[in-house]
Amino acid sequence: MSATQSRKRSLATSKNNRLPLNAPACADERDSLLEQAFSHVQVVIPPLWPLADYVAVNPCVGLTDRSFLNAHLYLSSLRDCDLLMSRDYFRTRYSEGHLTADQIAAAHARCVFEYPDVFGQLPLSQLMKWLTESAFETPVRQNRFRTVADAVDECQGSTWSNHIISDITRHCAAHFDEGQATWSSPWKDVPLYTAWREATQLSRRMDLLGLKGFQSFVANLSAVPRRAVQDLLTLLEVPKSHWQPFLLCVAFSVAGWSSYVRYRVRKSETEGQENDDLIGLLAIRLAYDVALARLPGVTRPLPLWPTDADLNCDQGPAGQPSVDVQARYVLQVAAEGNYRQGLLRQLASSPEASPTLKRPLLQMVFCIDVRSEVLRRNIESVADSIETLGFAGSFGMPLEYIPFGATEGAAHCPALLRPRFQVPETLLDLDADSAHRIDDEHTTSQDARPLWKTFRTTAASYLKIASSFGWRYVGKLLSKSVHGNRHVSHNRLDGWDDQLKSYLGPDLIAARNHGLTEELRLELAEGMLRNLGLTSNFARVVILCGHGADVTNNPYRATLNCGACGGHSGKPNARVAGAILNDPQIRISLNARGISIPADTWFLPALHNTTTDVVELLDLPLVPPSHQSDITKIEDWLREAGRLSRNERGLRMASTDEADIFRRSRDWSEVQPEWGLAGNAAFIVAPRWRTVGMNFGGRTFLHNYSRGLDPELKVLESIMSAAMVVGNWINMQYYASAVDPVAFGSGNKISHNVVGQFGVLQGHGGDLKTGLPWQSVYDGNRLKHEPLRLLVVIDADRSSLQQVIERQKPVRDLVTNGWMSLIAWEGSDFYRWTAQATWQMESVVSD
Amino acid sequence: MVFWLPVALLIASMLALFAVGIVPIRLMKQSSQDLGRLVTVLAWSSASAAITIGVQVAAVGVIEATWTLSNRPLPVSFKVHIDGVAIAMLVSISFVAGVIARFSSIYLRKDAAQARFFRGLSLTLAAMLLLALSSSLLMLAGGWIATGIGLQSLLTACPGRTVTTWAARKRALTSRLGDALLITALALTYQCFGTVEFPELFQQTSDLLQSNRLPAGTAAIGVLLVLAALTKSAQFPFHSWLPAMIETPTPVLALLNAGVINVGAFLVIRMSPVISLSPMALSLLTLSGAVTAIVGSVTMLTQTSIKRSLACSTLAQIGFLMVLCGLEAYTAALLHLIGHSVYKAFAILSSGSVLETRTTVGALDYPAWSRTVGHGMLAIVGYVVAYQLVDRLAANAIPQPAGSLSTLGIVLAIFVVSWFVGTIVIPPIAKPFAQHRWARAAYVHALNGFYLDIPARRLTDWIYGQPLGAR
Repeated sequence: MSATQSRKRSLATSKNNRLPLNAPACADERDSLLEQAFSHVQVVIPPLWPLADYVAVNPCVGLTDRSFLNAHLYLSSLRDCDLLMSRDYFRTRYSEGHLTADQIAAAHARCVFEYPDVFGQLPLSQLMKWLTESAFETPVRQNRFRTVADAVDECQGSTWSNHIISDITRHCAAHFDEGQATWSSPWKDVPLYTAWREATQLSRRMDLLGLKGFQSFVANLSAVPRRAVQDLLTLLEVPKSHWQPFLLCVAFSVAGWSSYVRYRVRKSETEGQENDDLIGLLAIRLAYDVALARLPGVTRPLPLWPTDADLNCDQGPAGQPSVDVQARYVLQVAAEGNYRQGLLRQLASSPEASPTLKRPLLQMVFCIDVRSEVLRRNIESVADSIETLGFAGSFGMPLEYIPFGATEGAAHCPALLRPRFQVPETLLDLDADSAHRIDDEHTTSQDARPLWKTFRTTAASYLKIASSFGWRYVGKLLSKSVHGNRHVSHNRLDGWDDQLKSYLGPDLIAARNHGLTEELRLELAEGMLRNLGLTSNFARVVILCGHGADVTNNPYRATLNCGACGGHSGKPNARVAGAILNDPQIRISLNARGISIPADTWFLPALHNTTTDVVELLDLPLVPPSHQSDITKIEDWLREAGRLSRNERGLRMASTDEADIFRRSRDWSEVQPEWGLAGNAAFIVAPRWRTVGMNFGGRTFLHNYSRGLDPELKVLESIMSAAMVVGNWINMQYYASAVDPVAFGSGNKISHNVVGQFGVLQGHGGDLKTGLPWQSVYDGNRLKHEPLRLLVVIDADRSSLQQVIERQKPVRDLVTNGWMSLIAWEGSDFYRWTAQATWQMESVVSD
Repeated sequence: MVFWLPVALLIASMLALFAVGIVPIRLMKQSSQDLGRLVTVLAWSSASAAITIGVQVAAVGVIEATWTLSNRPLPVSFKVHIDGVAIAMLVSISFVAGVIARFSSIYLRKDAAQARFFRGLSLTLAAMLLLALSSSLLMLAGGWIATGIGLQSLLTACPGRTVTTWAARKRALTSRLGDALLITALALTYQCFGTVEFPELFQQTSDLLQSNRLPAGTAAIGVLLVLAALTKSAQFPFHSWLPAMIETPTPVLALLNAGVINVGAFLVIRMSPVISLSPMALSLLTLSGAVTAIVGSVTMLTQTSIKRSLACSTLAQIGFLMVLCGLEAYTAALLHLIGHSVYKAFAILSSGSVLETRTTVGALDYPAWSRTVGHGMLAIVGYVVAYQLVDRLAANAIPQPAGSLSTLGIVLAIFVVSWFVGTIVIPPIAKPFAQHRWARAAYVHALNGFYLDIPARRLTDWIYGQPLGAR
């Protein structure tokens, strides 16, 4: 049965989820309650992408149908985690004057209005007392679901949890390894659970550690994971009504691996394959626990679930949040109110009528990424005749880019989409013979690579490399230490000079045979221009500026790249989009559809290096001679804008000079090459003239949108259901990594250990790490990312927004349940969407 | 004619590093950046001084210097003994430490533990320099113990994680055992030879060798020295503390795998005239080294995380080095020590680049003959040249075996054979058997490091009074 089928089935049976306890399980029928629990786990566990394609994910992505506060309660009843900052943090904010009593009072009133059941009993005076006096102590004992190993460890002071998680890590890493081990697991081709079951029957580790009889226990387990889970739950005497939260607790006990397996299941689903690995992982974890619970020394019953658990699992625990949680929530709302007021004050000064249209010399389309905001502002300040636009950085080109000499590539499009065509990389501007010759040489040198690795790693030969080849590392160490500026060479292009590398580019002719048909080209071109709102008044030069980070020795490189391009550079997307829009045939067809691009308009791809704020113009040899003088001018502007942006960044990074900014991108010992999207707090959907000249401090996503050009709300719907959701994922990832770096972040970079070439461990073992490293949100003294839920401001009327909200359930969940806040920007008025699904006028208090 | 300035610079750097290493931590919390710069400069200056001295040693053989600090009431003097073996150690550790110090000035910049780290690094480096410069077994033991203390302070620089504490405990136990073994050997040496000064000691051993009448204690001394070296260099059965060190920050890991691990090997090479008197000690060394090399390299093949692979590789490399020592191929061992240090420092510091350097092609493809042979020839030529250089440098420091076959010949033969077996023969033969029952079992056991960490863990927990499992 495929996962989709099982989900349908569980939906069908969801009405009678309150089966009487100990209902006899029918042997043939899959237990509907169990299937329901499985699909609940599938939904709640967020996927974790491998390092090479890392994209941000909202760690609560499966809980957005609950309110934020409810999700917090639910999660903290299942694992040791927190979605709200500590009291100490808010106290400091309050004592430093970042939060005022007025703001707290306003936030309190808002919370009482939105959730009267919860906050009705919390008087403001009690809240202020909680904040300023130390009388209220946070509860120590956590009344929650826990695994057997946790319960035993707490009771006996043992370290079973560590041993079990390490063993699961050892096994999962071997199973999913993408090329680190030379001798790889013999069970890589079978499902996770089967592989584990066979390997564990051979492994003596748990027996030696004192889990006597584990090998035979595993041998007696069912070979079918769902069956095994059911048997194990029965052995553990878990009441059926607890199955769903208990299984989720089990999954969270190895949260990293659950998330990675969840990603793989998701991938299999899109490829139409069945994948039961997540259920397998549950069976694996439960097997250790049940074997542990059966040890003679363990006293039963173990405290595995909260004593007062309300069993209505659909809604999570129904109990009231504690004063501590309530108060921290109100303060979180107050902190967000503080930022919101500041932003709205800025926006209130915006002109209400659009300026008269004048043809700009240059239009630059940037990614919505918060780092673009700085460069956009600076480039606009350099010259008058420049207009900038914001759009998702994949430029609507859902492509898979296949690097030179490789047979498969990576998806350069948002994680929610699948690539629609493939673009192979080739050597442009070279005659066929030379290209062929280089291809041959490249293939030969690539063939030698695995040989070099075999040679380096095979048991016997490894021994003398140190003696014979060790010397060559003296030079490498010296150059890295003295200059500090040598890149680790990318093996793929070893021995290539810069000249040759500059010829590499997308092969659009070959792409025609890989899905990029004439119709698709036209569809993409039109879709991009319409979604961008750029259908008239084209400038002479339109730059499509993707972005990518330039860092070295950094496993988390992809977190600094373009999220809209699946954690890769936006370079190929910009080049493909430029080539399509410059195609005369496409322009003729576009003209027929009402978009007339002037003959003297040239689309030029570019790449914004977010680490150094240098903009590299691409495909310059293709630019017609008539535009050469424009290019010279543009290059000067970009240099100046880059310099201004680096100055601004220098303040933020405490860098002394520009040279330090460049050093950061090349230094192998740098753990903070750039701040990435840290600080992100708002998402503004409006024409640029509404926000031009305003300094948002690199904290806002800016998306172009003109309500007037969108009569059917198609564009608005696509922005709110795609770009805005991506913004929420990024925002929540930063939020959670800052609020609870242990549960949702990936820990300290200085002891990161890359495992299987797809993930990161903290040192020796432990669970796979998810989220962002501590260094991405923390600068050594204080948080660099102030955790705020995303504030979305859309320049459109309330009724249009409401139409989209009603049409799109995921959007409705996000904005109504407090995962972000939505503001309709009508002229000079602001209306906020509330948890009661109503609009409320948001007054702007002037300073 | 000896040029004394570099020697003075080296000793001054060492003393300065010692001074930094014992300053109370609260005095330098505010200035960890300057501290980093200072340690880097001191390490680089030691390295360059050592290279300059090395040129002279190549010419004159051994440099000895004595500073008499006082004659009365007790004669106190500081004496250094610099030969080829000392140069190899001095250059490799100070170079590696310099690279690590520079790396850490940025890498740990935002970390609360940075000042502690530099203090520990400083102490460890100074201790290792003292060890390398020592002119007597007593001084060597002092450097040995100080290295252990320095390393301990590095390992606890980032406290808070239970696994780290546990791993540090295991290492501390092994280290104390090594100290005890070395001190016993020191006492026994004094009893046997009446001196612990290297020149006199080595004079006596070469006389003894000619007279063919060995005092009763020599075998015991050799075995004790070898055992001490095995603890410090993480050799079987004392090896399991090394892979557990992965918890520590990358620069500490690099210093451990590229520097501190060599201390045991240095002891063996330095004391080779004494150890060579005891066939039992040599056999023990060879056996333990071989077991470690096999366990380490087989385990390494199955490891899935980069740092663990590298730690297993260190085990294998140092095991191989010990085998070379056991076969009395001390020049080859010395060469291996230097090469491994720089290679391993680079590999660990750049361990974050796994994704940048990985290839798109699979790992275990059948290699092309021509290229394998080409690489092999190149490696052999490079090796012979380097061997001659080191041999020339260390000629006066290590005993030359009396056997008829040249050591270089034997070593080269081992290389060539293992080369072809390793890269040409094993992969294609092993591939079809990968799914066999015994191969699967072997894979699982190798993945688990043959469970050798568990007894060590039990012992540590028992000594520290911590429960291992439920009981």
